[in-house]
Amino acid sequence: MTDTPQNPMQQLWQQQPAEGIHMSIEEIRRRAAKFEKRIIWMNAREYFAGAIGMALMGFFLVRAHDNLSRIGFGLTMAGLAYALLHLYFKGRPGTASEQVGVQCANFFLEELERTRKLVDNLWWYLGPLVPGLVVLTIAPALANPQPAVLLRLAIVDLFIAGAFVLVIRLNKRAARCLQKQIDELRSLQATP
Amino acid sequence: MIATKAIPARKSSQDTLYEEAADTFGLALERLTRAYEADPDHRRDLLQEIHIALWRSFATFDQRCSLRTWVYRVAHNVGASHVARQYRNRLQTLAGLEELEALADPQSGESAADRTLTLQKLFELIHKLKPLDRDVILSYLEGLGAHEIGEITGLSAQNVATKIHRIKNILTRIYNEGGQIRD
Repeated sequence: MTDTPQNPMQQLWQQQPAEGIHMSIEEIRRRAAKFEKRIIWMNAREYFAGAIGMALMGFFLVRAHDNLSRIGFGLTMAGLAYALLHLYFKGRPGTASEQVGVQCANFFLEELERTRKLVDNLWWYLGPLVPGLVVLTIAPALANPQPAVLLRLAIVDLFIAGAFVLVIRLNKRAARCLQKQIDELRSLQATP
Repeated sequence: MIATKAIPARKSSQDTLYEEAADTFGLALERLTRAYEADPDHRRDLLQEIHIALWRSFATFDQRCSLRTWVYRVAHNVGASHVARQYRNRLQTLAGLEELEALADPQSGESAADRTLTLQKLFELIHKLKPLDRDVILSYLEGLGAHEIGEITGLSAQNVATKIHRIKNILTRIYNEGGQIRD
């Protein structure tokens, strides 16, 4: 239902040929159930990579020759589990039925805020991995304190630290971009 | 990660409201979907997603706004989420009405002197717009007034008025480029 068109472009828009697609309630229920299943699989896929990482750490934990290495792999597994749980609780987009009927600016703001927080607080994901990685560096150094081994470990550590810094910087830049969009949106709401 | 919610099996006022909304605004939803997705296959999926979201949303519809306002809010929000998913980090590459108004060239040679070409130009313009500007222009094209557009989008009255003014300028240019629209 629309108001009487005033502008010829409104008329043109509203007179577009339409297919008149209709779905019965039964069809909606069926497709909603299918849609839910698809979402469950999509979510499962996102956790699959984390699960592989944890399985790998578990494998190394079992195969490790000393206790310090076992602790290192165990801490890394715990860190991965924590990061996945944090992602599960904080990473939900605002597409649930109870949010979808809010004013568009608020819906969009909510989405932008959620994404900004996610990319701006990467330590929640990277931080828990640090203790395990530190222990895993110390363990072989203590077991075999040869200069060549120490040098190799230092290079690995530098590479990991560099990757962390790069990821954090890229995400900080994305967070600034998102904050700019949030500020623009708030100013559009604030003006009387 | 996307949140999921259990689907109630009982027939309820949720179903009745959905049926009323689908009957009344079904064609408008189709038009809105075209404005959010150009690819016909993806468009069918998006329309389906909007209908499902609408049906689910009626479980929490508290009638604090009109049915029409609610339907447009849901459709625009699902559409905007779809655009955000498509573009991911490229949302900032979409333009605002003010930029498009400045870019529109009234002397551009190509004439779009029929309905199809004029509509095509309109869709090209809409697909370039940022989500909220897209919501405003689509609501305007659907014939909604400034007050209701404010209710749907949550933008202040002054901003809606400014945006509608810009939209009218842009639409007039597109219309004039096409000359008199023929059937």
